[in-house]
Amino acid sequence: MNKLIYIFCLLSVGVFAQTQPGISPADLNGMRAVGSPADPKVKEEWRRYHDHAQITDFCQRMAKAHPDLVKLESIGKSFQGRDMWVMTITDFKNGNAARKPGFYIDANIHGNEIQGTEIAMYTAWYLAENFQTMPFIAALLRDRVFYINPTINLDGRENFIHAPNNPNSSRSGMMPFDDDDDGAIDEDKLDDLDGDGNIVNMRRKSPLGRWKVDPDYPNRMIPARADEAGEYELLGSEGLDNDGDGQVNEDSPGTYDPNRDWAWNWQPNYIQGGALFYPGTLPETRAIKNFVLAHPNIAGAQSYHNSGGMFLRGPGAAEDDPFYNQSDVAVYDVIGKIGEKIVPGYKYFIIHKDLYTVYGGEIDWFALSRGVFTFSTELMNSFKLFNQQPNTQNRFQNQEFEEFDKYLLFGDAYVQWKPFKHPQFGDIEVGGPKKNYIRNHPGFLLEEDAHRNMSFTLLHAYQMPKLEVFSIKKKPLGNNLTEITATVYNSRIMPTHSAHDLKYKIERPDYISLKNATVVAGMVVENEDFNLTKEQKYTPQTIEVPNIPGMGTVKVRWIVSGKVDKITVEVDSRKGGIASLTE
Amino acid sequence: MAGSMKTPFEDLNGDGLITQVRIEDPSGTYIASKNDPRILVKADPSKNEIGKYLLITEGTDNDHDGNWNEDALGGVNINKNFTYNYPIFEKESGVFAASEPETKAVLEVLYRNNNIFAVIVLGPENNLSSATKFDVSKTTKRIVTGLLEKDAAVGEFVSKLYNTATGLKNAPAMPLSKGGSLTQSAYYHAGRFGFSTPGWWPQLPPADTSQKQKTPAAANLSGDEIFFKWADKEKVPVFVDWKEIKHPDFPGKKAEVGGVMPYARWNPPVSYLEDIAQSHNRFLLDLAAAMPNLDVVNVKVENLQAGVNRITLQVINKGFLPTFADLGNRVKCVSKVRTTLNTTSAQAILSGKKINLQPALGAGELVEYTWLISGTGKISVEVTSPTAGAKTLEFTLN
Repeated sequence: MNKLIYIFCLLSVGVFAQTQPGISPADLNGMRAVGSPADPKVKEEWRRYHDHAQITDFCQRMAKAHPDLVKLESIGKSFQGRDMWVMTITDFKNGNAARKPGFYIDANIHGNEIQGTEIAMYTAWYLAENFQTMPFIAALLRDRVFYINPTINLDGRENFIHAPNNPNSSRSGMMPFDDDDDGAIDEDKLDDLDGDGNIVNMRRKSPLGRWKVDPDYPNRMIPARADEAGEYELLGSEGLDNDGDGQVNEDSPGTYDPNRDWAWNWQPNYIQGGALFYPGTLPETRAIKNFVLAHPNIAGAQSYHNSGGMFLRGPGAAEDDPFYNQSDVAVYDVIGKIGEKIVPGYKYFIIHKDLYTVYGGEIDWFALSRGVFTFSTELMNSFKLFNQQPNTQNRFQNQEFEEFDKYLLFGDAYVQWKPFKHPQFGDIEVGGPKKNYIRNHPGFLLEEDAHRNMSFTLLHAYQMPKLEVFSIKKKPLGNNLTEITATVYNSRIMPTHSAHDLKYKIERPDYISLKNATVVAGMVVENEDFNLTKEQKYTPQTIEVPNIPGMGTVKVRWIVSGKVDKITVEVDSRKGGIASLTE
Repeated sequence: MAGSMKTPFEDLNGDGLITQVRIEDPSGTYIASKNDPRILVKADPSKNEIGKYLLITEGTDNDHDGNWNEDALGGVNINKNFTYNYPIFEKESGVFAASEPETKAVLEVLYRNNNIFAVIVLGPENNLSSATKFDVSKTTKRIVTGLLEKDAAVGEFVSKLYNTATGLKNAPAMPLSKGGSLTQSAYYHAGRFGFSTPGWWPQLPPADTSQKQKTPAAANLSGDEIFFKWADKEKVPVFVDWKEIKHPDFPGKKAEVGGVMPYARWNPPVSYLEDIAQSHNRFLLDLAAAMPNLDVVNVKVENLQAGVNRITLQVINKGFLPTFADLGNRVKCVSKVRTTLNTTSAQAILSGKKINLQPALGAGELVEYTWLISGTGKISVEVTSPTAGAKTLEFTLN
């Protein structure tokens, strides 16, 4: 009997596998952990950080393993000549990819903010690997197209991973500049005095110093009390005065900010630190702008940064607040507030109000220059360490990172203080957090936060407009004439045009066409019950409507002569895609 | 805006020019000017004037949207595509600031060459005939929108140079544009002086004072009327006479093509160019002669004791203009006045900095430096400012 059941099971698995080729096995041992692929075609670890060669390899393996779901292209070169890879992810066998509502994801605009890249890649991997097993993912890829650009500061990332850095350095790209106006370019970089790949802090024992060792966590220096003598002077980041000008580390490669290089309310360096010459000075930001202009179907966008645990919407500057119309804000509010639940400890915020003023930032360009609903997320915060709010968010007043290092990372996150003979400072010690601690996730937290943040982004992508021709009504008018009334429904919260887009006519109107009928006249129905209509005199077979609102409808009407069986109504929207109904 | 470009202009009367079409229509709002019937002006109901003509640019409404020629090919005015106060979503301003290759190319030249002292734009703006006035309220916010006081004074000085060198008078008001112009981006964003002039405008004969009350004074004439007066006097063809055509969008209505020739107002006949070129060349030479010029004066080397010397010197700007705009002091890509003491390995600086950066030096302004040096032998001081020249002095210390 047992044997029989065993054979039956084998058979049924065999039949299942045969009828649905390409499906990943439901399990390896009889039970798949829910929500995760059991035997992904692309084997990847999500507890590590990838450099450019590894990102390239991952993207290529994805495109090879999932030819009907993932296509890979280079959309341009970084300043140092690396390929900027974009994975286009959709169900290529279903519909025209270029005409589906598009969702754009990028990360790592600041070279040291590296975990967003892993989340972007995880998202690509998760979508492709679960396409066969999860109906929700299959429907998402049938209806939408994702453009995933894992890192947009390729040079800064490579430098962060492979060159000595601290948690805050290598934010910029690598374009050389004479930062201190001394006529020499990049002549006083960070110096890795002990050769361990990390730029940590320098301290010098001195009875005149104002700092002392934290008695609980000796890795850490804390200020002496106001009325107490200190033990140490802090001398800044590990480095030398390479050019003998009396300053340490004052001219490193790249001291600009790629997130101040975008064409919305761009301001020069003296108003907005980090700006370059004009919006688009950098080849990386230019490549993205060209990509977005070439993909007007992009309706939603996400950019990953670190740190602080924030879902940010624009604007970056208070004077741009009026461009965020109430109805657009309502869309952000729905997604942002659910996000606070999806990623515990993350808050939904507005950049200029809750963070600081940013002129010429990326998400303002997406949202205000192109009318794309856009979030940027500041990944990682102290909350994540113990899943509770620390008594204060101030890094210098809480001990969360030190405690976490002690009990969960077993001391791996810090370089212990060690002596060094410094040519300018004499006998000093160097020590402090490793470059990928504090702002970037420790390995075991990375996969979980990747999944949570991906989920937030999939919610955002799900809420892009989804259009359907809901109904077609035919009413005979006599004289061989028929009145056709079509209702077009958008079943998601995002409109086909943001209110800002509508005001400034960024994207063309949506077209609703009647096919297979002889059109005498066409009109928009403003109120069906009271028969209020507005005629469109020219090209009446294709009615132009400015917008199809979120969770709302648009009605159009035609007077046609002759046959009205098998007529087709088609809606064609840049950001809402194409849908039709034949009746 | 984002749709296809489907409505280029049409040359309806085949004269090679795109002028205007006027259509007699009861809904028209234009009438012929009383001063010059060739010119159409808006009827003013408060003066009991009733409109007679519709006025459109020469063409047809190809896309039947009720607008004529609103979506022509090309269409970015580069002088609306620069970064300062970029006019968002305006006609001809481009898809976003610095979206055009021409804009980027000009800005690359401007920012990558830190010896550029001033930018002079020959275009439809004029801050040379009369200089922009200083307005303190525009200079105190985070985003600066007015000339800094010292830079406004320089503007006055350069304006005098311009008026003297060119002899041009009665310039029509052509204020700097509200946004997106090169002249303003050069100043407010790149920190360089920005000047602009159209180079030419119709010069009316002096008013005839003997017939004061009979002819309207130039001050009361519109720009078009001055322009036609000038053109008539100089016999320059600038007007296409109204001529009836059949316009497909206005069947059964009287439609006429005609009006001012395109660009005739801004571009004088070729015979005028030589004179304009010469007078503006004079201005450019005068401006170049007034440019900043660094010198090192009152150099003193004092031997305090064997092997210890004190060097004192003054770096002075002997030009008539500052080393660079005052706003340039805030701008990273504007190199400051740099004085470097180049020691040898046999010398050490006991006091004073090796590299000294000085904000803009005005005309005649100076800065003094002093160093204490131990060690002997050759030593040099190098003074450089990309916009004001370079000078190197060598001494031998005992």
